[in-house]
Amino acid sequence: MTEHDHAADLRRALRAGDGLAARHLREGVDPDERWAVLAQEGASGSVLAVELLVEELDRSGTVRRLVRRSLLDESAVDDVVQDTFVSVAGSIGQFGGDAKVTTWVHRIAQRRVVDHLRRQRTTAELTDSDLGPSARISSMIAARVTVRDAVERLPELYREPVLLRDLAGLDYATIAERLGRSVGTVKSQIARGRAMVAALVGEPG
Amino acid sequence: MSEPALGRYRLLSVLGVGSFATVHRARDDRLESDVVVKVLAENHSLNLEIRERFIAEGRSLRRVVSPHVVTVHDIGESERGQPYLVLSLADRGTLAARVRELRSAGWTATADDVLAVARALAAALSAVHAAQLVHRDLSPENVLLTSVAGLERGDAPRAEATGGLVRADERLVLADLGLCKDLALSSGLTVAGGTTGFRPPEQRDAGVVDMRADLWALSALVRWLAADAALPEELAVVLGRSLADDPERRHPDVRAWLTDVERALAPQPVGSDPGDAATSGGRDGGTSDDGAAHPPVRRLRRARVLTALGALVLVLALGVTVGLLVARSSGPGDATATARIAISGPVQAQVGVPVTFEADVDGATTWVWTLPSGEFVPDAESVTVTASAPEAARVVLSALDDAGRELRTEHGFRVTQ
Repeated sequence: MTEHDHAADLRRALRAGDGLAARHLREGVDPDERWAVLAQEGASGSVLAVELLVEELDRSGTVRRLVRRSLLDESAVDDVVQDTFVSVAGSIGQFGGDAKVTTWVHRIAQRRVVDHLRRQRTTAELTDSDLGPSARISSMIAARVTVRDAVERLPELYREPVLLRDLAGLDYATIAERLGRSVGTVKSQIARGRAMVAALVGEPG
Repeated sequence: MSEPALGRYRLLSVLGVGSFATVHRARDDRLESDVVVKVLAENHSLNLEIRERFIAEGRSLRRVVSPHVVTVHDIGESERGQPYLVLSLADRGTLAARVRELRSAGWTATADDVLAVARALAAALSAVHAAQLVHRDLSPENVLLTSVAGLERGDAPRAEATGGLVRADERLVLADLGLCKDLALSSGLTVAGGTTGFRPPEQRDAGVVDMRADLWALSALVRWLAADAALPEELAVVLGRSLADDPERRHPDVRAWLTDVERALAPQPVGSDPGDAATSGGRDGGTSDDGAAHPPVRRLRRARVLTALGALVLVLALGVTVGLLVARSSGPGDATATARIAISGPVQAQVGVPVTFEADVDGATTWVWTLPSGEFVPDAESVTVTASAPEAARVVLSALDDAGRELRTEHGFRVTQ
């Protein structure tokens, strides 16, 4: 019985935008239900829910494992994992409440893999539409005012690395050094930050 | 550069072209050795179902450790995104070709020929099954001969050399798994997996196939090899058991099969029926026991190899146990004290429309899916199945918990037009 209550509490915290409470409460909800709550709340507009969902997808390695089933090159895997996060966040509004989150994410990841493989084949000059969602968000962050606003609304933890990467154009290692964080942490924060920007501006994959 | 290459492998010649992959002989300049490079066809490289299986086959095959199974050296991707596997090269052709050639000169198999093949393939299949895989396409075309050039001294004694079928400097190697056939099966391109004449009855239709399917094919292969040979009638009885339509009536595993085949071809004197631990050891050593023609000599040699093989025996016995994971059709439940498994997914599907099933695994470290095609998919969080005919089908999920206890659950679904 308490499990259901925890889920309800988590929902309330998400709706209130209370990140601290939400982070604490989610521990008490079993993963399937937790992800379902996060995705449903994300679909109804909670950016906090999207943040937590992408964070969990990243931390659990779920998306990475899915992508590694069909791609071998680690840097390609990195790219497509990021693309998937951005797509998940950007198209969260289309998440059907009844679908299982992992199934929905799986389908998105597969589409991003196929996109990646198609892009890899076209030797032609890349145009904006040929970029993956993650690269597109990255270039939008650098170029567009509305998106810049979205970046400003990011939690500081993500805002700094995203700005340094997409606006200042620094590489991961330099950013890591400047912020005193590990390269892995910085990569992950940029991936999540971009995904949240996508959620804020409603950029579907 | 003049020759086509994939990564560091220079492609020399095309050995074969299938509907899903092209197989090249290639040169690895760094290791200065010739290898086989199997490349997924470009048009299938964008099909994720096929692509994932191709890569999974490489990863699965890599887990199979046996001198009698082709080795995966590497996996890579072409610039066009086509995955490829780099495999060891078998340079002496197929068992099918060798037997054809010998038969045209009037040869028939001796007991030693049969034992050499039976032991090598039993060792190969034990290793495959220990990796929780089913080969599914064992046939004379898929058993290769390779020269060993006296380089591998740590290997089993050159005992399978009988001067006849397998020569002194050769070894039998099982070729890669039946991936392409599996693919063809589940994509509805052909009616069934396996090679005609060596295809177990349960593989003719969609249904759950386990490692006893390989026992059927192995028996069919040995029967084919022994055709017209003057061999004890007992052999036909033993092979007949594992050629039963009902998998439950076959031998429980490769080890039991080999024990019976050896007994049929080299009967033990009455009253000296071997004690379990000791002789099963010699048998599990597979190729190490040379199956010399005279029983007394044979027994002496066996006693000697026993000690040396102690460790190997243990490993193989362990392997057989793990293999059982996929062998049982009833017994274990979906939960143990520390683990729980379940399958979630639709109960209805339409022909030609992919459906996805997910593993809910809690507390188990490794698991394996059995698809309606009979294909095994280890450790995947979800599997996607496309039915080719309206019928009742099921996916099965088996797992081991941390204490090595077995779990099993299945999920039925109805396929409609």
